[in-house]
Amino acid sequence: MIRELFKRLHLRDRQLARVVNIGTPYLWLGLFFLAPFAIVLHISLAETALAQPPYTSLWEWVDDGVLQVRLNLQNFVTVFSDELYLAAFLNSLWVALVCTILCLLIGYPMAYAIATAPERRRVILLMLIILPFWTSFLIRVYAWIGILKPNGLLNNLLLSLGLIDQPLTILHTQTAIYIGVVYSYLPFMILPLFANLTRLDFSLLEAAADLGCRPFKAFLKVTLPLSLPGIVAGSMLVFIPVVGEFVIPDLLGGPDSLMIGKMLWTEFFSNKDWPLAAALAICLLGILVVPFVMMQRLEQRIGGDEL
Amino acid sequence: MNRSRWKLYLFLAVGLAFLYIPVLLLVIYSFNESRLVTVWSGFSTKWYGELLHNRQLLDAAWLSVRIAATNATFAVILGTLAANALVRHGNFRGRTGFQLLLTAPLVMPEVITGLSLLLLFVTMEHTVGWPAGRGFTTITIAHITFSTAFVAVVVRSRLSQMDRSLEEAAMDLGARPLRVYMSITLPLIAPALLSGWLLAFTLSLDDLVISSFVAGPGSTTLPMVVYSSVRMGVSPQINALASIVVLIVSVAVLVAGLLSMRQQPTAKAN
Amino acid sequence: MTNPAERRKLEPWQDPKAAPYVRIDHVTKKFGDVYAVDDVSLDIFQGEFFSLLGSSGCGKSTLLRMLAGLERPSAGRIYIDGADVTDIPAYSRPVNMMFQSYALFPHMTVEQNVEFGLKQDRMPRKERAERVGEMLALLQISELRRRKPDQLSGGQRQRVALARTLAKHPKLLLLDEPLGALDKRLRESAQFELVNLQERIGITFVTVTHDQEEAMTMSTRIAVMNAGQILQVDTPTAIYEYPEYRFVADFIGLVNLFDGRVMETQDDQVLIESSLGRRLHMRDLHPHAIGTPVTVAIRPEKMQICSTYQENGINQVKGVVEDIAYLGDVSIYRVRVSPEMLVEMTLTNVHPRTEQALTWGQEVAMEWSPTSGVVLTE
Repeated sequence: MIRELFKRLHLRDRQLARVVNIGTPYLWLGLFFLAPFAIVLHISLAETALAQPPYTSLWEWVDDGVLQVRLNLQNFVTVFSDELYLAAFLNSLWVALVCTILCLLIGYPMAYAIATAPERRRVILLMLIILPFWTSFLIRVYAWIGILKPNGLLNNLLLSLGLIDQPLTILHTQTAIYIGVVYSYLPFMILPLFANLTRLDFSLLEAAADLGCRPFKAFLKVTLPLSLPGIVAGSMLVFIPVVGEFVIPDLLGGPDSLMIGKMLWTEFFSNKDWPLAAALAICLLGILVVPFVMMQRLEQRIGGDEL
Repeated sequence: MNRSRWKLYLFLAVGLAFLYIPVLLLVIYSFNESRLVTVWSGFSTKWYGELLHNRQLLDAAWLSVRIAATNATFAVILGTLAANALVRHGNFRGRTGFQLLLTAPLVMPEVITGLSLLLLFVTMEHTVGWPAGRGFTTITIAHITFSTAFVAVVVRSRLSQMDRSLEEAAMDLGARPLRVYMSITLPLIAPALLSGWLLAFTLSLDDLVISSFVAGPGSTTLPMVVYSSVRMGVSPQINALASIVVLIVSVAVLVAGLLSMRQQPTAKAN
Repeated sequence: MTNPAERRKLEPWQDPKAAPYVRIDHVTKKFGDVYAVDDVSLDIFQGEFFSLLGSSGCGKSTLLRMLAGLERPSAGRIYIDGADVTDIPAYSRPVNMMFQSYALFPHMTVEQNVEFGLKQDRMPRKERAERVGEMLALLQISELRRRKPDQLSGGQRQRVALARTLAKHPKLLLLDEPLGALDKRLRESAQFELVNLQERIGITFVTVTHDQEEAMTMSTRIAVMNAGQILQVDTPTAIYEYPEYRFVADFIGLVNLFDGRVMETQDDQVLIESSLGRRLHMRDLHPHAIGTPVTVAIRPEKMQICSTYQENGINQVKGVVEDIAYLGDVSIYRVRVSPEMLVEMTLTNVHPRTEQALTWGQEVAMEWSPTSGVVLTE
C-alpha cells in the first residue's frame, strides 16, 4: 500500500530508498541527539526551583497578554567565576592531553608492530586489541581498584619483592586517573592508527632507503607524515571523551583531582541543580567544538576509514 | 626477523600484557575464598553461588539484557540505513550535517549525552505526555541513539568494500532494487550486521552514565548495581560477575571473529 | 664495426681484459626453504643497458633488490665498481632504484620528491636546487614541479620517478618493470626515450622485465632467468637467433620445436632423424655425438613456402592450414602436419589481405635452410 502511495507520488524505487536511508537516521538523531542540546541550552538559562522538574520556566504569560521571558545568566556567571569549576575544566583538559600523548606513545609502536606483522598473525593480534574494548568498561576500571589500593596487588608485589618498605598511595590520586584512562582508551588509539598503517605502501620506505635515508629518518620523513590522519583520528577519539570522563575520576581519582564530568554529575545527582549542570554541559560542549571540528574535517577528507 | 622488529614485538607484548593482566587478575581472584579480595586464601566458587542468589542483581541483569537486545536490533536497522545513505547516495544535500550527527555520538562525553537526553525526555513528558515516566523505554532510546553511530561505522566499512558489480549483475538479471538489496547486498554484509549487533549489545550492556541519567526509580540496570557496589569498595561477588561477563564477551568475540575470518576469503574472491 | 678495438668498446663483454662494473658472484637468496635466486653469477659492464628477463617468480626482482641492497644475499658477494657492497645497506649504496609502483612520496611535491635523495646527502641548498632543476628539465617535467603525485598521469609519474633516481647521479640505476604501469601505446615511445636517456647520461642501467619485446628493444644484453637461475646471457639478436635452451627459445618469440636424434655429423653439419619421420639437415656449432636426442628450433618467419616438395625431402614438411592470425604486417599460419603437431609459419603480407596466398583448409608445403635454426639438447 505504501508502495502504491509512493508510486502515486511519482517516487521511483531509488528515490524511495533515498528517502528511507537518509531520512530515518536523520530524523532519529535529529530528535534524540541534536534537539536535546537546544533544551540543555534552554535549561541552563533557567533557575533552580523546588519543583518537579526542578527548574523554573523561562517564559510566562503575564496578565495582559504580555509574554515575559526571563533569561538567567547566573549559572554561567557561577561557572566562570568559581575557581573550582575553572580548575576542574583546566584539569580535565590537562588529563585528556597527557593521556592522549601517553596513548599515542604506547599505541603507535603497538599499531606499527601489528600493521607490519605477517598477515595471519595480524588478524589474531588485532583481535587481541579489540577484545578488551568489548569487555565492560566499568569492570576494567574496577579491576584497577584491586591492583592500586594501599593493600592491593601492586603494593603487595612490590613489598614482597622488597622494592618498597611501605605501600605507595596510588589509588585516589591523579596518577590512578592517568593509568585508568590510558588503560581504557588505548584501543581507541591503536585501531585508527592500525587502519592507517596497514595502508602504508612499504615500497615508499624502501625508496627512502634507496635514496640514502637511514631507517629512523625514513620513519620520520615518510611513515610519520603519512600516518598523520591516523594520529589525529586516534587522538580525537581519546581526547574528546576523556575531557568529560566521569567513571574513571569517580572510581580511581581522589578529592584533589577535579574533573568536569564528575562535577557535572555531582551538581545533577547530589545537588539537584539541573540548570547549573546544564550550564556546565554547555561550556564543556563549547570547549570540545574545536577538536571535534578538527576530527570532522579530517573524516571528510579521508572518508571515515580511520574510525 | 631483524633486531628492530624484535624490539617492536617485545613492546607489543608488554602493551598487550598491560591490557590483559588486570582482567586476568580479576578473574583469578573471583575464585578466592577470602572476602579480602587481594589476599589469596584458597580456591572457592562460593561467590558465583552467592551471585545466583542476589535477587537485585539478577533483576538488573535481566533488564539490561532486554534493553541491550532491543537496542541492538534497532541500532542495526538505523545504522545500516545510515551506512547505505553515506555509501550509496553520494553527495546528497545535508551530507555534512548527516555525517556530523553520526560521528558526534562516538566521542561525545557521556555526561553530556545523558543529561541532554534526560532533559529532552522531561520536556517531552511535560509537553506531549510521552514518554510517561522513565525506565525501559527511555534507556533503550538513549542507547539506540549512541549505538547507531557505532553500527554505522562497522557496516559502512563493509559496504564500501563490497563489489558493486554484484548488485549490477543482479539488476541486469532483472531484479528490482529492493530485491537486489535483500537478496544480494544484505547477505554479503551480514557479518558486519552481526558484529554491529554484538557491538551495540555490549555497548548497551556496559553503559552506566547515560543510563543513570535517563533511568527512573525502579529501573536499575546491571552497571548501575555494579557501580553502587563498587563505590563501596572491592567485592568478590563483583569479581565473579566480571569474570562471567569476560567469559561471555570473549566467546562472542571469538565466534564473531572466526565467522568473519571464514567469510573473508569469499569476500575477497568476489 | 669491423674494427676489433671499436667493437670491444661497444661490446665490452667480448673483451676478455675488460673489468666488469657490476659483479654478481655466486649469489643465492633463500626465503625459508625456497631458493628465489640460486647460485647466480653475472658480470655487467659500464654503460650497459642490461635486462633481467623472465616470468613472474623467476627471481629477477629478488636479484635486482639485492643489487639495491633491499635484500641481503644468503650466500655470495656483490661488487660494484670494484668495491664489495654485499654488506652495505641500501641507504649507503651508490645505487638507485626505480620501483615498479614508482613509490613516489604522496605527501611531497614533485620537486620535493626529486630533492629527497639529495637532502639525505646533505648537499648544499643552492647546488640542490640546481640539480633538481636540471633533472626536471632533462625529463621535461619542469612545469609539474609543484604538483603532488596524485595529480599526475601514469607517464608523468614515471618521469618523476626517473628524475628522482637519477638526481643522485648513481653509479648504477636499477629499474623494476620500468614500463609495466604504462599503457601499450605509451610504453612503446617510453622504450625509445629510456634508451636515448641512458645513452645521453651514460649511467649503467639494469632493468627487470617480463616483457620480452621490451627487453629486446632496449637492452645491450639480456639475461634470461628461470627458477632462480640464469639460463643464457647474450645480446638480443643472439638470444633470439641462437638460443641455447628450449626454454629460452620458447620464452622469446614464437618457435617450432622438432624432437629428433642425431644420425650423422660432419664438421658443423648434422643430419637429424626427427619424430615426424623426416630427416632434418642443420648447421650445429656445437656438434653432438651420434644418437644424442636433440630438439631443432626454427622460428616461424624462417619457414618458407616450398615449391619443390618431395616426399622424404630434407627440411620439408607438409600440412593443412588450420588457423590464420592476421596481424596486419604479417600473418601467422598454423599448419597441422601430423595429428599431434602444428607448425607455425609467418608470412609478410605483401599484398592486401583479400589476395592472401593461403587460406583455411589449404594444403601447404614448407621448408627452411640448414642455417636458419638451432639444435638444442636441453
